[in-house]
Amino acid sequence: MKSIRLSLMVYFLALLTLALVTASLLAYQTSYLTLQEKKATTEKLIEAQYDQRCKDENEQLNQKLLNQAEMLASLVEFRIDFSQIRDRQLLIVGLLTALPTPNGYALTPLWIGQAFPRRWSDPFFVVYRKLPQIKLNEDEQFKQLSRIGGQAADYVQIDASWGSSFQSEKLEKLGKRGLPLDAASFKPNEVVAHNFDSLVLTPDDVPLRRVILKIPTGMGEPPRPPRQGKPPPGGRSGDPPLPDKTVFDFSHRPPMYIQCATTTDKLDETLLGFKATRDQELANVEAETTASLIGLRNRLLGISLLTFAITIGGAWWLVRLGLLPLERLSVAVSKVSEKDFRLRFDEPRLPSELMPIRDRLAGALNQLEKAFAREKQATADISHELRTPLAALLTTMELALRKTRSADEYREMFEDCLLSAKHMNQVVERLLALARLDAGVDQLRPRNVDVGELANQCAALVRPLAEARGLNLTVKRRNDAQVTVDPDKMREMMVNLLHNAIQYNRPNGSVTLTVARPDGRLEVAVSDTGIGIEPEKQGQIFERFFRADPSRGADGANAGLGLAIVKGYVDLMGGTLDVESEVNRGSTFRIRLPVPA
Amino acid sequence: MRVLLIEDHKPLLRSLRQGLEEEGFAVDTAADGEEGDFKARSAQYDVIILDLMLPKIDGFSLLQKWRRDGLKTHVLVLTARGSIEDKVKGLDLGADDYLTKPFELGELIARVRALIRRTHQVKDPVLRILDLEIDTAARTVKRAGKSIHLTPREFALLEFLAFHRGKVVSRSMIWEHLYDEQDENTSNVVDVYIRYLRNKIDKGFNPPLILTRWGEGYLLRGEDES
Repeated sequence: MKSIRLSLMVYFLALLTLALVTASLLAYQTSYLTLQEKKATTEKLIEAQYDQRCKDENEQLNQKLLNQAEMLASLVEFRIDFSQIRDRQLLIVGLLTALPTPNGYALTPLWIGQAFPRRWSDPFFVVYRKLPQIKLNEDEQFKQLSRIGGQAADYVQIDASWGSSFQSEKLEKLGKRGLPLDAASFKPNEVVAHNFDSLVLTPDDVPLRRVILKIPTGMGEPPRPPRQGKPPPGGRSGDPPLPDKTVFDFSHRPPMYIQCATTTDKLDETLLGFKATRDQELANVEAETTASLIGLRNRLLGISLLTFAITIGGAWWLVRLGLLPLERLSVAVSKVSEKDFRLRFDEPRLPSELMPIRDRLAGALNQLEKAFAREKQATADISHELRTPLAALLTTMELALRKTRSADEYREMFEDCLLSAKHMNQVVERLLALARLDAGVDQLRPRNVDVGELANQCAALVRPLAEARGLNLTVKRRNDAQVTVDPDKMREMMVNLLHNAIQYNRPNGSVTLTVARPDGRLEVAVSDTGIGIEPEKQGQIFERFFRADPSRGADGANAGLGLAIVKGYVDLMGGTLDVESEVNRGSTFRIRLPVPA
Repeated sequence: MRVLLIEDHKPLLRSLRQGLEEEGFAVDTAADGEEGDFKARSAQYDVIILDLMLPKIDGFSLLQKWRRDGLKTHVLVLTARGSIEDKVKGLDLGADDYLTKPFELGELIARVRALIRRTHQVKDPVLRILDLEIDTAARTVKRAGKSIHLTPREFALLEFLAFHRGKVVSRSMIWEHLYDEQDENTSNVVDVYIRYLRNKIDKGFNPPLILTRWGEGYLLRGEDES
């Protein structure tokens, strides 16, 4: 058996589950996408940071190297080591022109050459091009480097275009050949240029980062963009002042190549560290994202379950609340009993859905009550109807037996008994007819008969009754009425109507029975000049046991059944029964039947 | 004793009338409420037997009207409606007794007699005056132990006198209570019956019970009458 409550709950919970699942999925999906995006962005950021850091680190190293190289450019000394000179002429020239300096002999013309424009200095460089040796004070370098706060590149090599070369200590220790130099990597028109590269130094496979700075000899540090109001930096004290780089054209000076290289161990370490950090960070992001998602999922699950739990309770309560009026109605209905048909359900604030139910229920119960009352009344009426003739019967017979009587007396008494018995018989017959109609077992047995002839028969039957009351009875046949109809029922109906017409008539009145066939239908009418029927009662007279005059006794089987039977038969035949009546003038009862010829 | 019978079912009316007359009652009849009402007010009845379902005016309405108008006649309601409500209603409206159809004739008669006794405040159905014994139920008479046979009319007259013993009853009273509407009122029919009665009751017995009060009527000797 289906339960509204149960189905409602089930459907509601199913709907809720669906809603929660959908909402959760959507929420999760959206969050997932967002988180993924965020993760991607963060990863990109981390990568970018890493790249930047590596780049920075590299840049820093490169810059340091460059700084060092540039600084070296200004620290380079050109000295003559007389022990190295083999050429006697050069030696003399050198001796003549050299000046002693704390660091060795410096060539005066070189200074001059440095100071003067090209035209003047070029010849000196032509002469001296093979002489000057490059010298570098490593301690000085260290000092300078510490001043500018940089890490010293251990491997320094300075090559002059004329072949002179200087190598730092460490480089010397490593290998004779020094750092390879590809002068062609510099474009000829580049006066000052630098390149960075990485190389591996054999034989120990030491990874190095190196900068090669091509710089014209005598320039010192390459020019910086001039700062406001400050003169360009000069060289060290004790050396000839460098020419103003901004005007002096160094392009004709022979270039020298300053190489600074340093092991990239530390750099590599740092880079690895960065990489590790990056990987770590990436892993963290990954973990965070996953954790977020799991957390989100768990939260959604928790919320859903909680909502579900709460809503089950709430829903059950709501359903119960909603069904409460229904329950009350049902209780009220169960209280309706045979004794009391009233529906005890007086609630002013009835939900609109129940109002019509309650009203109709009350209406139906009311009808039922009326029907029961009618039936109760009917039962009383029936018993009453039969009791009076029974009493007459019994009394008469009792009387007859009290003492010996004459034959005439007995005859009279027998006649009385017969009358009473007939009366009772009529009542029983009518009741049976109604019972049959109720049970639906009544069958029509139509035969082709002349209804006019039937009318005559019926009239003959009731004529004695009519004459006894001084009434005039006539039969009128308007048309030929040879039709197919159930003759017994037809007779019964006509007799019934005639009895009524006689019963309710006035002295010297008349009764007319008419048979006609208008429009192919069969019409049978009985009119009387009787007491008539009030308009408000005209609808009720066809009801069972209804008597227009309830005080009228059972004289002539007037139990209120006759018209009910006629109506029943007419309905069975598919026709209509109408009455026209005027109080104190008379009534006409008309039967109309659709009959085939 | 005179009875008014109001009943619309003709066969029953006829049987009841005959039955009551054979028991010595004078019976008038009416077949509808209107006629019944008229008759009830126009003669002195000892009991009215009233059916409830009557044409024109129904039984309950009649009863109510009578009692309201001060009619004191005993009413026995006779009807096919046997429900408790109807019985109660009938009694409450002023009926003295109630009998449902179908009934035994004997019961009806006994109840009517009981009502008559009530009128005269007599409890014992056997009326005893000196050595006269009148059994109103059995319709027998004894004087000094000796059975006396009386015709129904004679018995009714004696009974009437006995109910009014010690009191003078006029000829018209006798006429009123012992003859129905259909009887012709011949002035000396009462005298004739008194003579018959005296012949049977007083002749050969002492003291004489049926006395004459000239100019007034007759009476039956009471206990303390001398």
